[in-house]
Amino acid sequence: MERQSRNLLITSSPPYIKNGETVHCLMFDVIISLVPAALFSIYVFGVRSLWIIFISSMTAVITEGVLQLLFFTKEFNYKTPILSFIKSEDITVTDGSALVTGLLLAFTLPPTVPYWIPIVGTVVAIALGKLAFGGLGYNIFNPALLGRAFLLAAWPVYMTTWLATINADVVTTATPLSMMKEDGQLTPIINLIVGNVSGSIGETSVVALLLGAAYLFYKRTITWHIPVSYIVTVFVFSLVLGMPAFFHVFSGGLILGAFYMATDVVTSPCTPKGRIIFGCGAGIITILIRKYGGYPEGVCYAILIMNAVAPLIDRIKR
Amino acid sequence: MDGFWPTFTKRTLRPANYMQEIAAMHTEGIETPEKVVLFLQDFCQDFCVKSNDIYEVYVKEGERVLTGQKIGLLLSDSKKLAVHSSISGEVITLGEALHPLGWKAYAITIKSDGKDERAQLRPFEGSGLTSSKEDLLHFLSDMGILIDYGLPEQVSTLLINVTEFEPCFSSKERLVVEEQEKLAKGLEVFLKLFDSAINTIFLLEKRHQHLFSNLRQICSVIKNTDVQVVRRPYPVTLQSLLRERITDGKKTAMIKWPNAVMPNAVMPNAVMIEPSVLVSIYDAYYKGEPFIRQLISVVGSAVKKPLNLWIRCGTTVDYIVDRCGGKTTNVKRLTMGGPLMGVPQHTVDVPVLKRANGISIDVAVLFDDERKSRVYKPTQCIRCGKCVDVCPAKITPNAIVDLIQDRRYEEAIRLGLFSCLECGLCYYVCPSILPLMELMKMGKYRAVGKHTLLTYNYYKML
Repeated sequence: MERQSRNLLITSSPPYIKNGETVHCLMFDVIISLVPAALFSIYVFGVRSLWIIFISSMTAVITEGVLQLLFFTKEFNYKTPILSFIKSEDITVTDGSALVTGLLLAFTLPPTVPYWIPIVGTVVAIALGKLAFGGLGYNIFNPALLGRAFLLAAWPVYMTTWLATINADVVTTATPLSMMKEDGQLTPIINLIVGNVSGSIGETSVVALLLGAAYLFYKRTITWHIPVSYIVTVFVFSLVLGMPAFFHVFSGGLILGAFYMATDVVTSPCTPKGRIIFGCGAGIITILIRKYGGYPEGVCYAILIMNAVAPLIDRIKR
Repeated sequence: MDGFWPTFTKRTLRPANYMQEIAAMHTEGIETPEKVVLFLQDFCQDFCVKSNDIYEVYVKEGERVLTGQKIGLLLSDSKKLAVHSSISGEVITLGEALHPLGWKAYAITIKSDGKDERAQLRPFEGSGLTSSKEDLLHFLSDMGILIDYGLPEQVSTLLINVTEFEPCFSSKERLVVEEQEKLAKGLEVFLKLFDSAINTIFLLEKRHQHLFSNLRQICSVIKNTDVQVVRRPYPVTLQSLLRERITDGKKTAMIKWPNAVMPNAVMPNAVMIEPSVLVSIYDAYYKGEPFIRQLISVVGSAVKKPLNLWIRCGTTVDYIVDRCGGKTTNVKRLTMGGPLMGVPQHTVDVPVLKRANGISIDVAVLFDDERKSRVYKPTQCIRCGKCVDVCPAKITPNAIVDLIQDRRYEEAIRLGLFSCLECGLCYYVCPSILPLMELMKMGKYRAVGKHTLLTYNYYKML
């Protein structure tokens, strides 16, 4: 009785303050930082790249929503579908991770692909790359890169038909990397930095990508460890192997991969030391594929291989 | 829908210091409480329901006591600690009361008569004690000041923690500004105890650099003393880890210094103390006043005027709320300590802990106007590693919590579960809103075989 008469306070475990950051914030930071590169690609490759980006991201969101509705929800009230879709705890489309996957996958596609290619790629990326493992947080491989690897293996012709840049109609050319690999012909560095070269939708302009990366660094969404160690390793290792170092840093998807793909929080190590090892390993594999491998570009496979090793790195360096 | 729409504000890894205005205000004193509650048991063996410590009582119910009169003795494993009445008045109850750390303990409640008559002051020089270490230690424990390191011979470095870990407290800062001479003289006395200490280091935060000149003046008086500016504050719990390492020689408590100020090998036997201890030592040694006053910060939305206050030990919180312009009926949350590491309380009539350097009192938990409070829903860990980046103990909270949830405690201990300082920063930054600190605490209890989450780690506040 005495206990009840007293004004009992609310007790909960400390801490009582929070910086308000959610998974949602992280994902939308990435989306905002991808905007300059997307705008530049629309300017360079025309409206077709906008359509590819749009189709890819929409497919990603729809795939994730439908699959989570089918396989992940425990209770769903079909009488009020919209309300229960929004309020359901199991459906996490709104956290934006599917949108990021779709955008990043579109960024790695050539602008000439038929419109069904991004659809197939995103469905594979979301269904096999992410939801098959159990959703965000459980996936081993970066879903966007897994989708791209699948597309590259299944339809190599579509995936390696490149479009020339501004003021050109549909004229197929080669990317700077394949030009160097096949003909030994170097593209000027300034073209690579500005983005006036052929290549995938999002990877051409280094300036636009670095602008977005600066935003990510400002918001502290990513840390410096992976991008810096990755790029420095590529630079040093290509110098060691006697290849043009600056060309290798700025060509291909290295900047996109280093700042956006490799820093994917789920598939990279947690500790700072582990991140540096991750970046160094990815850099070495990239240069090895570019020098000795069959493909001109190695960023995609390098990051996928290091993703598989990331849990081991976490185990060693914690 | 907090965090739904993207914002362009920079998220911080550490809480901002949002009560900075009270750091510039002069401390005030409310030293005429109506009643005080003084505990004669301060420790609970099994962290459970009731304390079983031994104690001695020197007063009877209804007896009149004076300010500073010795009313009891607190005995725990060969240490004695005298308890003094902090006001003059009448003893109204002797018996069990709710300790702020969560268990029941024997307490003496004294009702004030408003006169504040002092008992006879007994400074060290007139007491007839020799200046040997044992006598000094005996004198200090007789004055109610706990020097909890049993073996001062081993200590080689003395650290004085002027850094403030909680984001809204500034009592230590005010102490250095206002009581600089007392700090210097108290440190002189304290160094007589720790005469094996080779050097003394004041740890000062970078954002408190205006205190640098004050501390330099203290250093100019006492030799082998230095001020070390550190980038991040040290949690109070680091003291208990250091003490564990000295007294038990435990290697499980692996302490990695957050800022690499000093490597482990240089400081095998370091002791960390709070500056408030030095002030109370000065009062006891030179003036003969026992430990009956303490400086706390009072913050939160329930008090109109957040302040740094000198209070008498054992003052109950409802009196403080009244005097700071708040209503006790409005209080919905009360924390001994700050919002990061505080101890939640059930009622407002608990006394302030003797070791606390601040309390925070809030009007509401949900949807408060001043500090926006929300309930977050935990999601799956996305392994972003922000908890690892921010952890001052340099452990990996996400991996340890994974192991704790799988009940693999041995592996969790191997990853450094017991070097967790319970500072709460991992929860502060976690984007998945996992209750990391709570799970770590639960893991600590479960790992040593105590299946209870009832109470709080005693060592935390020491």
